[in-house]
Amino acid sequence: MKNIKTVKKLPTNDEIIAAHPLDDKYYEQIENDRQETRDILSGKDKRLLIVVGPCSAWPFDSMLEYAQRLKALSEELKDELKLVLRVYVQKPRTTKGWTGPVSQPDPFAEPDIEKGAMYARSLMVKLIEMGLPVADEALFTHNAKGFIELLSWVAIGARSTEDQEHRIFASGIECPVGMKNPTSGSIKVGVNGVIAAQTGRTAVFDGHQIETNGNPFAHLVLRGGCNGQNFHLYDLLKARDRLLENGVSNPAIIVDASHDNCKINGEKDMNLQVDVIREVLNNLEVRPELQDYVKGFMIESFIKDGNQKLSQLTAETVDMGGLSVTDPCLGWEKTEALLIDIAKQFKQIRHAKH
Amino acid sequence: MQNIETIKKLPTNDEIIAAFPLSDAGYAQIAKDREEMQAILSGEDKRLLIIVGPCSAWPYDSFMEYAKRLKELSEKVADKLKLVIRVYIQKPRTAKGWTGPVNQPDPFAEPDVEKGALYARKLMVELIEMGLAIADEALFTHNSKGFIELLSWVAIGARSTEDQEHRIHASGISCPVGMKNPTSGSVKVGVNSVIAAQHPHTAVFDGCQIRTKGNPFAHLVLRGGVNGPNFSLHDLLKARKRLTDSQVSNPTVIVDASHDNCRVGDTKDPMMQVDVIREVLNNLKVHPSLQDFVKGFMIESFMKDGNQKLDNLTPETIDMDGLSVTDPCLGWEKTEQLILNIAKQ
Repeated sequence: MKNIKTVKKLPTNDEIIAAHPLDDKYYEQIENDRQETRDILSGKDKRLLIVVGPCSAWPFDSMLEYAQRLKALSEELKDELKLVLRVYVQKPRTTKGWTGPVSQPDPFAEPDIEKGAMYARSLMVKLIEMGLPVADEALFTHNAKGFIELLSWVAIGARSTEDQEHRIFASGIECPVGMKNPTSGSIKVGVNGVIAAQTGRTAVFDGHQIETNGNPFAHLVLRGGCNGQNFHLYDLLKARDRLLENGVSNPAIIVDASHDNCKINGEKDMNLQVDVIREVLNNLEVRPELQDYVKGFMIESFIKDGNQKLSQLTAETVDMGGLSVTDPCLGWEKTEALLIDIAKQFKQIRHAKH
Repeated sequence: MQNIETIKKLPTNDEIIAAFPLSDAGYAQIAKDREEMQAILSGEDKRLLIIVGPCSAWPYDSFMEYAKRLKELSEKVADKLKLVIRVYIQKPRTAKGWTGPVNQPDPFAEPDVEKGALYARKLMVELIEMGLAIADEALFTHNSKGFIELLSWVAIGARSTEDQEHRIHASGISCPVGMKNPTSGSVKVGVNSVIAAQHPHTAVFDGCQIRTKGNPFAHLVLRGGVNGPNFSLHDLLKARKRLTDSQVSNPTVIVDASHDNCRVGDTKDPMMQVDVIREVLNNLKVHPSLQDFVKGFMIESFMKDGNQKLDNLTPETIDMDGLSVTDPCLGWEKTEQLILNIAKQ
């Protein structure tokens, strides 16, 4: 295509892996994390799954600092919660803008995908060696090299959830995949995404005809939409009924406490995530049968409260101490208090049920 | 990934092209067709653009028969209309089902992407040599081999229009690209897609870092949504304001007369396409300033009225004479009448 300029050939999957290898014992840890995640979704493991971390996985050092704190907390809460760290190296945009460290590891320099792949692989390897399971959004199916094998949970985002290629990609991923509802907020389209991702497909990948097996652990993630939130009792019941009517395997819902579920008058209020989760947990208490379907939460959280706008910053003025460069996040103190509260409340709810 | 089984290596772009080469005259014709479309979108050429053809480009023989009739008609109306034939070899699905001849050229046999690529290339080459300009939806960005160079108009469909990879793909295509509004019907998201497709992006394609130039002829296609149609005067004015406010190049819209714009209740009525177009043309008459903005229509049409459901059919019972195997289409007589009427009006 004449409208495209080829900049350079990229390293292969094997070359990226060889640059930042992972010891066998950590591959076992990933398999173990994936299995625990599957068990939570199937109901065998009664804990809640919490996917928590910054909006985007940048910068490197404050990401590691955040991860150390999260690791310590995850040990403390592990009887009630399975914490998975959000390592979002790929960022979708409403129209245009920074697409994350995988394309542009230095947001103040030119995009460099080779460096981006190395950034993503080396960051994820370090986090896994620290003992954490990692999650990412599968945004760029043409560029999933070097890190897809490291993930324990994958999201298909709101802007891609209705797209056939992303649904096919989800149907071929080994770890559980959360299919978000689209930005319109439609639960119907979200459930169609789950059905499609659970079905085996014929497609093209890397110049080959492939067949995917279908992903029985594809599940629904409710993230609200342009018309408002969709985490209320009514929404949960509606989503459950739709999943059941369609006979999907392991019918399960994760509530994303962020995005359009924490928006007031067009503004995201990251502190509202606490209220979203409180309301859902209260509903799980009043309607214990919902505990078989609502399996966890997503939280956007970093070291500092709030965010900063990359477009107004320079390499000199940007805050490198764990302040989000994309959407606003809940700071560490509030995150810690929230996770401790969830564990406490969930313990009581579970005991009341059994 | 262990959840994927590799079936076989596919032929390269060059191999597919070599199997069904196109003459230099054919390539020159494509370049001319693309230019004419750009001229219509920029307002230099005052004709309307009509993208018309079956919901899916199958079966081969009745498709060729349809194309012959369309070619004749296109000459008759060439002063007023630029006709482009819909050659939709890739089909998106609500959840699952047949994804079109590019993956499964025989819907009753197993998927075969190699045969599908050759089916697509051969069909398109024959249509171009017949003198027609062709359009397709860019659904499978991983499998655009052998035919992307043949297209004069490309759609990004309602289910992919908000997806970043499809927007990037659109920003790197050499011919005009119509960005549909999403299935929710949101004009805002559709306009965001146009902005994104006009913008350059850095991405990965075929193992290389690439830079797209941005597509200044990316435009909006209104196709209705779950909450109803979106082709009314109010919708057109709203879309124009949004595109103009966003300062996109060549701010224009194509009205898709089919899909959710011709749905009554839960059922698509292909005959309604006639009424959709009549209403829009009336609005263009009453508000002449809209003529600089509304540049054409999409119509789903085949030999016969209606459709048949693949799931309920076998190779023995299927109607191979131009009855749609996906969404219902307007039959040939009605299509001809409609296009003559549009040209007259």
